[in-house]
Amino acid sequence: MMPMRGCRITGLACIVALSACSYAPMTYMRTYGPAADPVTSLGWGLTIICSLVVALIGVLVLIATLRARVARGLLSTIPIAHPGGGLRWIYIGTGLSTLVLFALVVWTMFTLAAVASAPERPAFTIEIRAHQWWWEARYIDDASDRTFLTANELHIPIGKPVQLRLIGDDVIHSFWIPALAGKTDVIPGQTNSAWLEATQGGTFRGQCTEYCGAQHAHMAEFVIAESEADFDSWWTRQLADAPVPTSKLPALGESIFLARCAACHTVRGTGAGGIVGPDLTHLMSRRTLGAGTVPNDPESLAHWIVNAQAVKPGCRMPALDLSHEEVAAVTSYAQTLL
Amino acid sequence: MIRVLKLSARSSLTVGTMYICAAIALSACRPHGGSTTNDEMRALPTERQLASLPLGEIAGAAKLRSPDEIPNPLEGNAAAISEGHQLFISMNCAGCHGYDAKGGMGPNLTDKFWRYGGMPSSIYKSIDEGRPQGMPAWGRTLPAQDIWKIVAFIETLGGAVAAKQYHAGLQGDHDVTFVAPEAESLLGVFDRAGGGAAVVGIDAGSAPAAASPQREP
Amino acid sequence: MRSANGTVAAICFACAVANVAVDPLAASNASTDAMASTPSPIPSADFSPNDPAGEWRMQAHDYANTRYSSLDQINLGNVKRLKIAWTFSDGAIYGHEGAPLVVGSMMYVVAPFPDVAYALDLSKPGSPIKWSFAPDPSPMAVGKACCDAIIRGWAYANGKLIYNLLDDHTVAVDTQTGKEVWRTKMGNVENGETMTMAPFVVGNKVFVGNSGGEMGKIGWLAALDVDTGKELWRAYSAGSDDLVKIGESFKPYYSWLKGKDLGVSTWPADMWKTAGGAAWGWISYDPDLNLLYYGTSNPSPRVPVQRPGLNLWSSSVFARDPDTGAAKWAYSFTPHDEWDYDGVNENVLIDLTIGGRLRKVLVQFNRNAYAYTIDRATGEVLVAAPFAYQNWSSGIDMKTAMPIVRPDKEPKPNVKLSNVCPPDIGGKDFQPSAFSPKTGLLYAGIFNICMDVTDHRQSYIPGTPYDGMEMTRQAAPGGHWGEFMAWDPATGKKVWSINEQFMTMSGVVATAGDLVFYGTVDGWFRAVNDRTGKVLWSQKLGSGIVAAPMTYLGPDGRQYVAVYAGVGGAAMVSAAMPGFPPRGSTLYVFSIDGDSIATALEMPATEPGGTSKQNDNSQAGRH
Repeated sequence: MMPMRGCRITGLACIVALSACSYAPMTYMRTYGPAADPVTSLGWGLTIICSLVVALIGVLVLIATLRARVARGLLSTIPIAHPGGGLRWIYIGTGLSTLVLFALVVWTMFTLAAVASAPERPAFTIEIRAHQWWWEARYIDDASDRTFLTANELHIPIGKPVQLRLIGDDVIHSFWIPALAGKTDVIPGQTNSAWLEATQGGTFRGQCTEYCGAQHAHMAEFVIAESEADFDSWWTRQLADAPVPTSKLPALGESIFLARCAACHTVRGTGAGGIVGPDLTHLMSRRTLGAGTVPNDPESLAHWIVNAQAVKPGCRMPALDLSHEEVAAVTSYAQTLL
Repeated sequence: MIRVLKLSARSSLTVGTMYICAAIALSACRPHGGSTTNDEMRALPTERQLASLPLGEIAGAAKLRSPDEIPNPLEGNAAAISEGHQLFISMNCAGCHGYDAKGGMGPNLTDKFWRYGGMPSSIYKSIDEGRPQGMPAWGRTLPAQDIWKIVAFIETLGGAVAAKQYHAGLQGDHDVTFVAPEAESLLGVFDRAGGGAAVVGIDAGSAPAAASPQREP
Repeated sequence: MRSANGTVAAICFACAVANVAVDPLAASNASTDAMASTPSPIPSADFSPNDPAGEWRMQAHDYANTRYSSLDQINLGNVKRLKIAWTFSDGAIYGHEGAPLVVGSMMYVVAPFPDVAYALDLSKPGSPIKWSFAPDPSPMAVGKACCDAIIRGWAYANGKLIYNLLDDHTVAVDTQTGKEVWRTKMGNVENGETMTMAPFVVGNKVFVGNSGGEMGKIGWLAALDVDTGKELWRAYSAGSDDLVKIGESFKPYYSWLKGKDLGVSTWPADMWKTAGGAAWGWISYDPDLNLLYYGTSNPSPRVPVQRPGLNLWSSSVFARDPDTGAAKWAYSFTPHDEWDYDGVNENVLIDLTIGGRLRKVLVQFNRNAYAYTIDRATGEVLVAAPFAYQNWSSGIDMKTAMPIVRPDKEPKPNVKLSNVCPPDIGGKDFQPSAFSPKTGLLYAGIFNICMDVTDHRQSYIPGTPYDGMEMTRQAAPGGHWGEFMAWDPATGKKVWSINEQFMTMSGVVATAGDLVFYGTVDGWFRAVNDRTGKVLWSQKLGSGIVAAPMTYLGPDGRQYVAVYAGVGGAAMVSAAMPGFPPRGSTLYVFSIDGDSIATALEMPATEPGGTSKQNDNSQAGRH
C-alpha cells in the first residue's frame, strides 16, 4: 500500500513537471509576463506547500501507526491513561496550519493586487471586441490617426504593459492567453479591463474560454511579443492602406472582392468598409485564418473563400457561389493584402 | 526507484491513451453549423423561376394563369427571421427604411402598399435587382439564402402579400370584407355562362367561386 | 449713468404707450427714440449687394443673410388686412424649403424633385407661367437623399437662374428663354451623394456644396464660374491641408485647431475619406473682409465610438477667401460630435458692441442648442449661450471654446440612451433666422425636442447610409415641439418667445414694417410684432410650412408676402402627431385685402348682352 501511494504521487508530479517542459501551447504552468507570473508562482507555491503538508501528515500518520503496532504488542497491560503529549501536538499542528494558511492568504492578496492592473501606465490600449467566432482588435493610440482595426492576432512590445478593453458583441466569451494573463470574461453591454505584458519574445496562443456557440473551439487568438523596433514597424505597416493591384489577376480579384465581399469586410484604401467580418487590409500578416482554424497558406485561403462553411461550419461567412476563375482571382487579390 | 519509474511510465501511458481516445471520440462530433443545411439550400427558388415572375399584370386576356407560386423557403423559420433582422441592420437596410422598418429615406415596409409587389418573391426580386429610386441591387453581394432570410424578416412585419396572392396583390385586395359577384372573376362579363365572347384557354380552376374575401379565382 | 438712462427710457416708454392709443405706427417710432438714446448702438448690418428694395434676388436677401426687407407698406397698422392675393401650385409633393426670387417683374421658383423651374410673370394678372424648365434628374437621387427629396433654394446671377439638382448636377437656366445654359456634374449620386442647398453668388462665382453626411460622403464646397459652369476650386471638409485648402493664410483662433493635416490626424486610419462634413446649408459673405462663411455637417458615421478623435473639420464653420477657397479661419462647434449636431446653419453677419467695443461678428444658432456670436475676422467666440433646452453639455469652456460634454449623454452601441436634448435635428435646424436693424434682434423658429437614441455600429457600404442612429423623438419639458423667439446676440438672451404645439421649421422674414413672419409645421403662417412678440395675424395654409417667407414689391407698386406651404424635409420626424398635415405644393402670396394686379380687371360678360364690373377674380386671366 505504502509504496504504491507514494509512487502515484511522485508519478503525477513527474507528469505535471514534464508537461511544463513539453510543447503545450495552452499550458499555464510556465508564464512569461507580470500579469500571470505572480499567479503561477502562487500556484506552484501552493502545490509545493500542499505536497509538503500531505507528505508531513503522511509521515506523522506513519509514525502513529507504527507506534500503535508496538503498543498493541503489550496486550496484557491495559492502558488506563495514555502517556501525555497529544494535546501539545494538536496545538502545534493547529498553530502551524493557521500560520501557513494565513501566510498563503497574504501571498494570495499580494498576487491579486499584482495582477489587478498594470504596474506602470500602459503604453497603449487594445480594444477587443469578441464576436462569434473571432476576435476584433482595435489598436488605440493618443494620436487618433494611429488607430486601426485588425483581427485575431495581436502584436505587443516586449517588456511593456498593454491595456486591454474587452467588449462582447453578441454572447459572452472569455479572453485567455494562458502564458500571459488569466481569464477575463467578455460580456455584451459591459466593458471589462485586463492587461498584458510579455517579458520575452515569442508567439503565445490563447483561446476563448466561455462556451459561445458552435465554433467556440475554433476561436483562438495569438499574441506575438517582439522587440520595440519590430513592433513599431508592424504598427506602421498596419496603418498603411492596401496597395492597388498592379497585375491583371489581382485586379480582377479586387473588383470581384468589392462586389461580393465589401459589404462585410473592410480593406482600407478601397471602398470596402464592412464591419460584419474581420478587417482584411493586412490579412497576409496573420498566421492563421478563421481565428486559428486553419493556417494562412494559399490552399487553405482558397478553400476558405470558396466555402468557409466547409472549413468552419456555422461561421458567419456564407458559402459563395464563385467560379474557379473567380476564386483564383480573389485568392490572388487577397494575397496582395500584406 | 525502478518500480516507481515503471509506474510513472504506465501512468503516463494511461493518461496519454485517455487523451487520444477522447480526442478521437470528440472529433467525431461535428458541430452542426448555421440555420440552414444543404437540404434547405437545394430548396431555394432558382434564377429561372424568379425571372418568370412579372412586375405588372400579364397582358391581354391571359387571365388564367398566375405565375408559378414561389414561396419563401425560409418563411416562418425562427432562426432565419432572427438572422434576417440582423442582416437588415448590418447591411444598412435600417438606415433607409428605419430601424422599425416604417420608412424614411426608403418606403415603409410594414404597410400594405408595395410599388413593386409584396409577395415574398417580389420582395426578393426588389432586394436582388434593386429599384430605380435608390434601392441598391444586393444580388451580387448577398447570397440568395441571405436575401431569403431578410424576406422572412420582412414577412413578419405585417404588410407582405402571401405567395399565392399574385392577383390579389396587384389588385390591392387587402382587408376586403365582401367580394361583389362581379369582382369574383377576373374578366367580369366575359366569364358569364352563355356569353358570346370567345375566351381563350379557359382554366377550369378559374370558375367563379362562392364569395369569400381574398380568394384567388 | 445707468439710472439716468433708465429714467430717460422710462419717460420715452411712457410716451410710447400714450402714443399707441392714438397711432400704432408712432409706437415703433417712440421705441426707436428710446433705444437711440442709450449709449451702446444696437446691432447693425451691411445689406450688400444692396439690391433694389422691392426685389428679392437671393435666398437670404443679402450677403449678410439678414432676410430683412426695408419695405413697410405692410406694417403693424394694416397687417390684419392681409389676405391671399394669388397662389401657385408646382405639383411636386416633396418638402418645399426655398423662397421665391423676384427680379424686376419676374418671380422664379424651383419645385422639389424633379426640380422643375418656373418663371412667373408678375406683371400679368394671376402671375402666369412665362416658361418652365424640366431638367429630368435621376430618380435614384430620391432614395439617396437623407431628409426628403427637397430643394432648399436657388440663385440668380447675370440673367441666369442657377440651382442644384438632387442628383449632383448644377444647372444654369437663361431667365429670358428658360433654356439651359450649362450643366455641371459635381458628384456621383450612385455613391449616395446628393445636392440640396441653395447656391450662393458673389460676383462672377457661384458657390455650391454637397449633402451626404449620413451617407459617408466627404463634404465639400466648390466655386463655379457663373457664365460657363466651370469648377474653379473645391475645398473639402476633411483630409490633408491641401484638400481642405488650409495654407499660409489659415489662422484659427484656438490652439486645438492649429496643426498640420488635422483633417487626417483627428480620425482613425483612413476614416477621413468617409468623414461627412457636407456643406448643405447657408453661405454668407463679408465684402469688406472678402470672406465667405459656411458650416459643415456632422461627422460620419453617426456612431461616435467608431471614430475616436476630434473629427475635424465636421460640425464646423469656415471662413474662406472666395477667389481661391483658401481657409482664413475655422472653428468646430461640436468636435467629435456624438448626436448629429451639424454646423451648417446660417451665419448672420452683424456688427455689434460687446464689452464696449464694436465687433464684426457672425451669429449662428447651432444645432447643439447654443447660439454663438463669433468675431468673423478672427474666429474668436465671444458669446455662447443656450437658446433651447439642452442636456448634452454642462457648458462651453470659454477659454478654449470647447464644449464640456456630459459623459452620461454619450451614446454607446446597443444601449438605449433616454432623453438626450436636443435631438439630432437640434435646437434649431437649417430653417433660417432674420435680423432687424430696427430692433437689433434676431428672430428664429427653434425646437423644444428631445430624443431617445440607440447607436448601432455600421459598415460603410457605398450608396447606403453610414449612419447607425436609431431614434425616437418627443417634446422637451413644456410639451410643445416648436417655439418662435427673438434673440439678443450681444447678451445671448431670449427677449420674447411664442410656443407652438407643432415644430416651427419655417424661415423668417423681418420687415421695416416692424413685422416678422414665420410659419408652423401644421400650416399656420403668422405675422408678429417684432418688438413685443404679439401675434397680429395668422392664416392657415394648405400644408405645413418649412420654407422661408419673403416679401417684394410687385410691378403694381404693392407689397406682397410670399411663402410656400409644402411640408416635408426633417419636419417629417413629427409626422405621427395628430393633426400633422399631408404634403402640399402651393406658393401663397399675400397682400393687403388680397389686392393684386387682377383686382381692378374688367371681367368678361357672364350674362348675354351685358357687361358687369365686379371684383370677381375667379375668371381673371382666362383665355
